[in-house]
Amino acid sequence: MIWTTWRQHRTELLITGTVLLLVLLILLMTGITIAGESSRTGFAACLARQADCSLSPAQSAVENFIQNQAFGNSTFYTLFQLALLALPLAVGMFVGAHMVAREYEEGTYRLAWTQSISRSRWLLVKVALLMGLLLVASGILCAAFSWWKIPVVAATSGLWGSTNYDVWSIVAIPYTLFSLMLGICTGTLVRKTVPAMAITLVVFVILRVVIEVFWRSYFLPPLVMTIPVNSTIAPPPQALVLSDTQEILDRRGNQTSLPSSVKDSCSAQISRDETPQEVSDTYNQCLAMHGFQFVTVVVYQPPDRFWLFQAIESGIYLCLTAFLFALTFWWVKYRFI
Amino acid sequence: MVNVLEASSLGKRYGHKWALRDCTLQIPTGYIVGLVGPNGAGKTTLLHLAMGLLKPTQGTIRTLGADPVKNARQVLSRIGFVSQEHPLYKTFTVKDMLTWGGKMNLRWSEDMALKRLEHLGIPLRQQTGRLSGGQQAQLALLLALAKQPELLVLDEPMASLDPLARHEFQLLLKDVVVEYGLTVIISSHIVSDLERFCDYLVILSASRVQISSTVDQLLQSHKLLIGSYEKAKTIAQTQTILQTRRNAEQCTLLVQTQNLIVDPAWNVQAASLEDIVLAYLAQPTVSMQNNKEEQLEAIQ
Repeated sequence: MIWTTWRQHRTELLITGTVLLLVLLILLMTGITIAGESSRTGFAACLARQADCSLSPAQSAVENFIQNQAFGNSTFYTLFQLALLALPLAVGMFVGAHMVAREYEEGTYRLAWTQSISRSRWLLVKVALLMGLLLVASGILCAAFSWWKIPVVAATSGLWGSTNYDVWSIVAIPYTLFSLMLGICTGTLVRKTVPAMAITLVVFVILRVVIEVFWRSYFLPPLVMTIPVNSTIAPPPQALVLSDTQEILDRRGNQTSLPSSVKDSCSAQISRDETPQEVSDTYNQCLAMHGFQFVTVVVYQPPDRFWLFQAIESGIYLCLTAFLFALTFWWVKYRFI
Repeated sequence: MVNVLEASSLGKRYGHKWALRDCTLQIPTGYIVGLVGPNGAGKTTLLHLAMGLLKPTQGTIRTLGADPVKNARQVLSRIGFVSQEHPLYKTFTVKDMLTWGGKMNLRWSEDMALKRLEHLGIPLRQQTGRLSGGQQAQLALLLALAKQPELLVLDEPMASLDPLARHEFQLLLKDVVVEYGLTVIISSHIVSDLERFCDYLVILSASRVQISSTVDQLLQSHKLLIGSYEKAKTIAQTQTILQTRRNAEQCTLLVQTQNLIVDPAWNVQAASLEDIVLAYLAQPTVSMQNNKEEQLEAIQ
């Protein structure tokens, strides 16, 4: 069966391998130049001190270098990121959706399923081998990224940025496995390659968008930080800020709205020749006398939850993959006859 | 003797349409069985049920004495199956296809296949998709044979072939059947394809089995009677008339009978297999079990 799987899917697997090598080569070349730029500007040294290096001149220099020079120009950089984002989907559409659907379209299932190997075993071995190969390939890519992305994350996208979270981190592996299984499953159920590819595309994109936009930020209840005016406390750097709003608190600390009488009397105390800072101070002192205060309420996910969230999202996709595998297996073994 | 195929009130329905219905059938070991019927009669459905590619909606089927769905591996390893349009992996070379067969089976006689391929002049390095239709059919047959099966099942193996390729396929088939002494089930909608080498016939029409009998029995029990049309009514009372062809006062009756007809009014002749088969196919409601009243009505 190993030979069989290889012989049947060698074109797709060779293309996958070539793409992998190409991406690794690009990462190696750009990784070296980025690391060079990073140490030349002192950005690497700053990072090594574990300081907050964002907004430093070194950071903007490195960011500019990555965006505009490391990949030739900014268009290539964008294209490279988009291509990587689409890679798991391509696997599902071009390897997964073809696997069973093509056997149907060409009638070869009647050949394959009448030999001495039971069709459930046929499916099991094929899925296991393709999954294994993709696991290795995406694992290699993920390992390469973990080296390459250190200065890039610090200089550009930030921890929670879509490219870092979705493409350069561990969750890209479950995305790939899920996409493959989604393609195999739709191909089995729909029996036609092109519709199976289309369904794979639509389902994968919808699921990714829904989880990313509506669910990911709330895997765990976010933390809330209430920051009084003129305070220097702030959420930790690299936190995922979900909302950042100005609120009015009353004496007991409850959120409220400012009565218009208070607003008017405090506004009246402001004189024209004050600086903006003085205006703000006068106004806030007046509010405090009436028992109100302005605060900034920040809702956020702390950066130390990054890997936990990666694990949660990986778990979601792996569960879906297992479900789709069970469905396909059941369909091929019982439903399809 | 064990039956290679046993079906009991077997039926397969797709949505509201029955592809095969109330099929009860025993095919004994050792014959070359022709499965005849018009397109859409349920031949492919029956064979797919026999190979466990489909699951019955009702009834049961046993192939080589076992349920082909539950005991798929035991059953399938003993059958060589050439499916309609003889599908092959089109990007594989002929050699790849043989290697594939070897990996997919426990018993595999690659030497036999190689020898025959060489004899047939089919190049091993050619992609199967680039072989001619006839060569593809021959390769598919050799793949089925390399499993060293007890039973060979061929679904319309010659339907898509031109006359020359059909002839060559028949030669190869005859050759291997004689050499290995296999039981063969071969389906076709062309009677003349089967006439020459089948010794058992199953006629499927309108999703039902009409005849399941050896060719000898079929020929013995069916006669052509030529005589005056006047007397057709009298003979219909004692014999089952399958077909009446009238030419002025003279008529030709195809009669199913167990006894000898000695009436001097009739000139009794042997019926050809094709005559018999066509008569059954032309009257989907008639079968060997039907009663005589219907026949009488048909004549009057």
